[in-house]
Amino acid sequence: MKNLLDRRRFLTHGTAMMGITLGSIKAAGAQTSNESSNDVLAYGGRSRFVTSQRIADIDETHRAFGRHEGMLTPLQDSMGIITPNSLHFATMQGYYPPDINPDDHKLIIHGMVDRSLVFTMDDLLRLPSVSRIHYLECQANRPEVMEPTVQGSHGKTSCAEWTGVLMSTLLQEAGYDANAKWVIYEGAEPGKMVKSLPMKKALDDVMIAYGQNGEPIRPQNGYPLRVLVPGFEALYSIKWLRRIKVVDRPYMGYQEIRQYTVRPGRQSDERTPFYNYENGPKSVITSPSGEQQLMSGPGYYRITGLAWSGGGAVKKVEVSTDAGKIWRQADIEGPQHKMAHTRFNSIWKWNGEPTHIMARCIDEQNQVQPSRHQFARYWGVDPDKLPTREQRGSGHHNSIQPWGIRENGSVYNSYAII
Amino acid sequence: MRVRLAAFTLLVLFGWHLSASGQGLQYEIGRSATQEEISDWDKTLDPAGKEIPEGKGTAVQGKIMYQESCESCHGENGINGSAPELTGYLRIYPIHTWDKIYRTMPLGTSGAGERDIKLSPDETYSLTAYILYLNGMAAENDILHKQNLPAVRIPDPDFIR
Ligand code: HEC
Repeated sequence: MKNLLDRRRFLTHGTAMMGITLGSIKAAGAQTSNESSNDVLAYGGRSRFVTSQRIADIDETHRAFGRHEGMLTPLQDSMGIITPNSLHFATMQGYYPPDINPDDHKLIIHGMVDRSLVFTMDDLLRLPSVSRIHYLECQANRPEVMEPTVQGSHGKTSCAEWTGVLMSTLLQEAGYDANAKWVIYEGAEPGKMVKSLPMKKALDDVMIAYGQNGEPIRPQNGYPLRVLVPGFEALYSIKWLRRIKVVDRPYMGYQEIRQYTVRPGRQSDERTPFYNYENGPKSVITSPSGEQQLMSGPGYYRITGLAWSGGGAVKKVEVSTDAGKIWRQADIEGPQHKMAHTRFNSIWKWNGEPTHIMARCIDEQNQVQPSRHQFARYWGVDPDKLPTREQRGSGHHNSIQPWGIRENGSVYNSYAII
Repeated sequence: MRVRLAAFTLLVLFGWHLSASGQGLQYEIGRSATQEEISDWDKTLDPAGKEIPEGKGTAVQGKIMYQESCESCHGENGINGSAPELTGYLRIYPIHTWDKIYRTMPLGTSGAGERDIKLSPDETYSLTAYILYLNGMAAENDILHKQNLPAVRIPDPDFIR
C-alpha cells in the first residue's frame, strides 16, 4: 500500500516536471509544427507526415443513431506484427464505448462456485499476471468482392500484446464446481453482450486483460477490462467485462442467437444452431494490395503480408505471383507466436505483365488456407455467390484473397476472378 | 501432495464443502459478493427458460409503455426508428426478446452504460407481448407469463435474418 502511494506521488511530481520542461522547450522558439504541440512530447504523437487512419465500417443493419458498427485497421500501412492501439480495429453494436471510471468498475464471479467474489481493478492488479501476443479477428472479417482495399475487406483483425490475469486464476479463486462445463460472461456496455464459452477453454489460456501494448486497454477495445480468448473468433472476447457466471450448459444469449451462431441453411433439415470457435488458417498480402500502385514499373518489389491461425502458430506462408500456378515459400520476418499475426515477406521481380498475387497460410497443425473454390465446395455453396448469407458460417471465412495487377501497375481486388 | 490430501480429508471429515477439483483460496483477493449485487446483474436466462422471473402482461398494457419509453428509438409500431426494427426480425425464440428487454432496455445512452430506468418482470412481459402482437404472434389480450413464454415458437425459423 505504501509503495503504491509513493508511486502515485512520484507520478504527480513527474507530470509537473514534465510541464516545466515542455514549457522551456516551447520558449526556446517553436520552429516546426511538431515542436509547437505539447502532445508530441508528453504523449508521443506521430509525425504530421504519417496519416494512416482507421475507417468506419458502415453496416445498414446497425444504423442505430446513425452510428457505425466499427472501425477498420489500415492493414495496407502495417509493419511488423503489432497493431498500434490507436489503429486496433473495434466493432460496436451501434453505440459509443461506455465511459467507465476504473475506480467504480467491478467484476463479479458467481454461479456454480464455492464463493461468489467481487474484484476491483486494484484487486486484479495484485493477482499474478501474464503478457501474451495474440491477434483478434472478427468473425465477419472476410474477402469481399465489393471492397476495393485490404482495409475494407480484412481490416477487422489486429494484433497486440495483452496483459492481464488468467481466467483460470479467478475461477480457482472462486472455487468452481466440478460439474460446471461452461462459463458465460457479460460486458458493461449499453447492450450488455453475453457470450458462452466451454470451461475447457476458459481454464486453458483465456485472459482477463487490462493492458494492451504496454498501456491500459483503449476504451473502444474494452477499457478497463476485457476477455481475451486466444484463437477464437473475436466475438468471444467480450469487452468492458463486468460479470462471469459459472454454469453447466451454453446459454445461447441474445447476441449469440441473433448473429453469432451458425444457423442451419434453408436447404438443410438441421434445426440446431451451433457455435464456431477457432478462426481457420488465414493470410492476406497487405502490400501491394487493392488501390495501391507499383510505382516504379517492372522490377523488384517486396510483397508483404500477415498470416495467422486459431489453430496455433503459423508454420509457413506460400506466395504465388502467377495467379496460383506456382507457390513459393515466403520469408517469415519476425516472431511466430501462437495465435498471433505473423509477418511474411517475399521479394518479387515484376515483369510488367498483368497478373494476380496471393498468399496462403499453413499452420502448425498443417491446416492449409483454402481457395475460394475449395471453401465454397466445403460449405456446399456457389463459389460465385461468396460471401453469402446462405452459406452456413458465412462469417467464418478464411479463403485466399488475390490482388490483381494491371499493366500500368495499379492493384485491384480480383477475388471474383480467381 | 501429501499435505494437500491430508487437508482434503480433514475438510471432508468436518463436513466442509469442497469442489471435486480441490481448489482452495489461493490469494484471498476479492471480497464476497452480496446477494443483492448478484441479482441486480444476474439477468441472463438459461435456454430452457427456468430462470425467467414470475410475472405477466398483455400487449394492451405493453403498448402504452412502448409509446412512453421505446417509440422514440424504435419508431411507431416498431418500424422506421433509429434503433433496430422490432417487426419481421424477431430472434428465433421470444425468450431472447424478453431477455434483451429486461437486461438492457430502454437502452442507457450515457456514462458507463447503465440505464436510468430498469423494467420490472411484469413490464417486460407486457412489452414482449406487444412485440409478439406486432409480429402477429399474439392477440391483444393474450396473457404472457413464465409458463407460456418459453413455448412460443416463431413459425418459420428461416425467416430470421
Ligand atoms: C435510446 C434508444 C432506445 C430506447 C429508448 C429503446 N431501445 Fe431497444 N434498442 C436500441 C438499440 C440501439 C438496440 C440494438 C442494440 C443492441 O443490439 O445491443 C435495441 C435493441 C432492442 C431489441 C432487440 C432487437 C433485435 O434486433 O433483436 C428489443 C427487443 C428492444 N430494443 C426493445 C425495446 C423496448 C421494449 C424498449 C422500451 C422499454 C426499448 N427497446 C427502448 C435502442 C433503444
